[in-house]
Amino acid sequence: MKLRSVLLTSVMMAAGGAAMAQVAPVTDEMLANPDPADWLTYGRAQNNYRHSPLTQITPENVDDLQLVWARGLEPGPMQGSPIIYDGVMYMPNPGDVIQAIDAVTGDLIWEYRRAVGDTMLLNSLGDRKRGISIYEDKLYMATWDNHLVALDLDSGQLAWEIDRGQGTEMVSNTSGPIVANGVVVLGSTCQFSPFGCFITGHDSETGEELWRNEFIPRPGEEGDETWGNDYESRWMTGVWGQITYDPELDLVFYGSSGAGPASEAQRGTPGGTLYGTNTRFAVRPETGEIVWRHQTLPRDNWDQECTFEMITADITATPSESMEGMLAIGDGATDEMQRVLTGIPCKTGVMWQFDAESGDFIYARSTVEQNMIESVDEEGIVTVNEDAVLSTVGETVYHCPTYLGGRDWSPSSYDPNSNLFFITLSNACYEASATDQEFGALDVYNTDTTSVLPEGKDNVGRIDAINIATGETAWSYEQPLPIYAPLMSTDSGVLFAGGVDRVFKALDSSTGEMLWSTKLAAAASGHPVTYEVDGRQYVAIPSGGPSYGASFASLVGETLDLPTTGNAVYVFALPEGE
Amino acid sequence: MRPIQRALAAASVAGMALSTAAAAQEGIISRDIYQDRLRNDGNKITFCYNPFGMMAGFERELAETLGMALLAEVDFFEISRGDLQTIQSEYDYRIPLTVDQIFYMFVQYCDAFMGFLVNDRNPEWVTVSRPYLSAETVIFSRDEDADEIGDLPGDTRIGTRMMAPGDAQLINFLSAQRADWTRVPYYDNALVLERIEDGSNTAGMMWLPGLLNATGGDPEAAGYHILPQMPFQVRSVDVGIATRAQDSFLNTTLSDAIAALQADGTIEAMLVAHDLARPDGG
Repeated sequence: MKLRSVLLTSVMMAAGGAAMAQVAPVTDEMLANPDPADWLTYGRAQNNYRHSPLTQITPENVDDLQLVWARGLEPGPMQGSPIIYDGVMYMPNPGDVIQAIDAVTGDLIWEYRRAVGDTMLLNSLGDRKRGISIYEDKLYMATWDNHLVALDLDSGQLAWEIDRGQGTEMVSNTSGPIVANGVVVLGSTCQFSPFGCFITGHDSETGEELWRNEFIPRPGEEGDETWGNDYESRWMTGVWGQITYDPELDLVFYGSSGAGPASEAQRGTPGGTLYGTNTRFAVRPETGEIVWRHQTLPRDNWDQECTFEMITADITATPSESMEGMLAIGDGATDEMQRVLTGIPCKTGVMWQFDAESGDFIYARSTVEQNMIESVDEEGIVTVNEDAVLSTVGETVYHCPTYLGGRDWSPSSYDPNSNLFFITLSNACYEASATDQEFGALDVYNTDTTSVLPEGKDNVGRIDAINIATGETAWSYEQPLPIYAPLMSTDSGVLFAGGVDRVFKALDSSTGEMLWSTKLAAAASGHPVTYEVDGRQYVAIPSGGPSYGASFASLVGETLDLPTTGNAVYVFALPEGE
Repeated sequence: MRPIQRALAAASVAGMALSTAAAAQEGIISRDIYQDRLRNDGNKITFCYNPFGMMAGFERELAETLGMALLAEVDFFEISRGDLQTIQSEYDYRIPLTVDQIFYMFVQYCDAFMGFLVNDRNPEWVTVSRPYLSAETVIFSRDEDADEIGDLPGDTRIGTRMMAPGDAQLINFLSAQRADWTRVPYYDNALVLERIEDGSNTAGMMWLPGLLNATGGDPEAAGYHILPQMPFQVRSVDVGIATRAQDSFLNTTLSDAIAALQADGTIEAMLVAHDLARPDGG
């Protein structure tokens, strides 16, 4: 009854408020190469660049930005990425609420409010709604209770719903689905579940599950011997980061997370490399066939979760021997234009590059202080630092970065004009020990940790720009307070960044110079996007909710004034006529 | 929004007001949620407990008995399923909440929290009472002739709940003395038992109340033979009632009442009735 009344409300909105004309179906070609005015996936296009070709807002005029409209959003952790299509903003909210909003006026067009049932049974992480996707005449969302839902793009009415299972065993998803060649691809998180997770591919028309890939090997399967414990002792590995699709290669790229608890001594895997964990996969979206795979961190003792987005780009890779933090250069570079897969897949902050088609290793380099990886060989095989391994219960080890990562969930951006890759980072380390004296409440890591700044660092918050062709750092912006929020760049050379300090800012993407900033009511924690309607460029930033990254403020002796209420999306533009 | 999430949001706002804005304005004193929770409860103690845990029935009865002993009205606040931060594991004492959730439960609902370990990892804002349950950890197998650890075969697979008391010592023991054995860590004590039942494992290690609770108070009748002696020292699992650190009078009062109920055998009888202890005091 509750759902019915909500749907009735949405119909009334359409009749009396900002009515929506029937939208044209979203095609594969549009997802691959959106109209400059649109932002069609959580990464704008399937390549996940989070980069817009719009140029109205420039480094010279960005400080003229004015608030055009703002609209309240649902309470909860707000980390969503709006989708913009033909003047309509599709906004994912905590609590399985989707809203279609007029992107010019901020008026509600329709709202879908899912009767999720008893959220008391569900994984608390699933409340975050970081991404949704659209394709043909539908909008797709992953629900708190691990269903895949398709809505009618025009009306918000439910088209179909598929139960992927184990929602009440705390399987959920945060990043949301993508659509690749007509297949909806959706990962899952098992952070609080005593088993491993999976990724599925679904027919976009019907929701039928076409394939399902797991990550933790079962007895007798390839890699079973790399764990050293029983199958029932293996848990947590999933894919919850953002997924990239390359339509020319017809490959989906996703990454898996680690295993719990943190200490390999306690989980019974001493020395085990944990096949399937922290691995980058290249997969056919139609069948789930794994074309290539590469483990970017074996033997994880630090929850480094190599599940974050990597992007494909056409470059002539010329990795520099003098790149900062260089770990290894392989022979995957062809010395001519090639399509690479690159990015920072793990919390380690290590940047990786592979040939996107073959998986051949090109280079790896550190960004933030990290001491987990001892070395990487010419094939890209990692050897971990024994001194950082939690091999003995009760023994304190120093490791960098922390469980919150050199980077964490907040996505990067990439400017294909300059070859610059932008990433939000945190300078922080742990003094950590696996504990014997367990606290009564369950701790998935079972460690005692104390955060410290890396030696020589005074600031936690950081944004780096890295030339992906050479691997060299172009610039590094630092500030005392943590940033811990997504980025977005534009053709005109402006880089927008949120922040848990509530500051929404614009940097010069070629130098890192701060150009403009404003302080929001709550953490600027959502994905900034930009779009154009009737010749005017807008910049939107969803805001609100708590953020893990805020805990780093104490490292620099500062207090973060961080309200957990006041969720809203803010939309800025230059004054009309400028 | 879940009750605890609401509390988290509200308290977060209040907490920030304390640390920043309130500090900057003279004459305005925010209510200190750490020290000065408004109370209109009169002669009532609200006990929080986990209704999904193996000790739930015992803990309710104990709270009511303590209330009678202290001439206090007793009220209960139950953890709801949505507050659980993981799947409830069976035959276990763990409270499946985060430390933040427990803090805000104290702020909003609880005078006392049942089922807390006496443990040096507890946060500084709680004090745990005199334990009402002190339990040993045991190793057991199906082999009734096994009188000591050396009687178990060389290829013994011993199941344990990962991170349980004795688990770290078991790791060290096997590493130093029995490299031919295999420790099989599980998420759940139920699996420790199931894998002995189906023959996958030779032995198991568990805190005794868990084994008693799983076997109706009689492991031997269920076919489990407990080794008379552990091959290594294991800390006792001491379970008491948590109060906020500043509620020292309440904590002392509860501790005294627990001591009295232990002295007259009341608590022991209740533990036995709930299959959490042996009648012989074991």
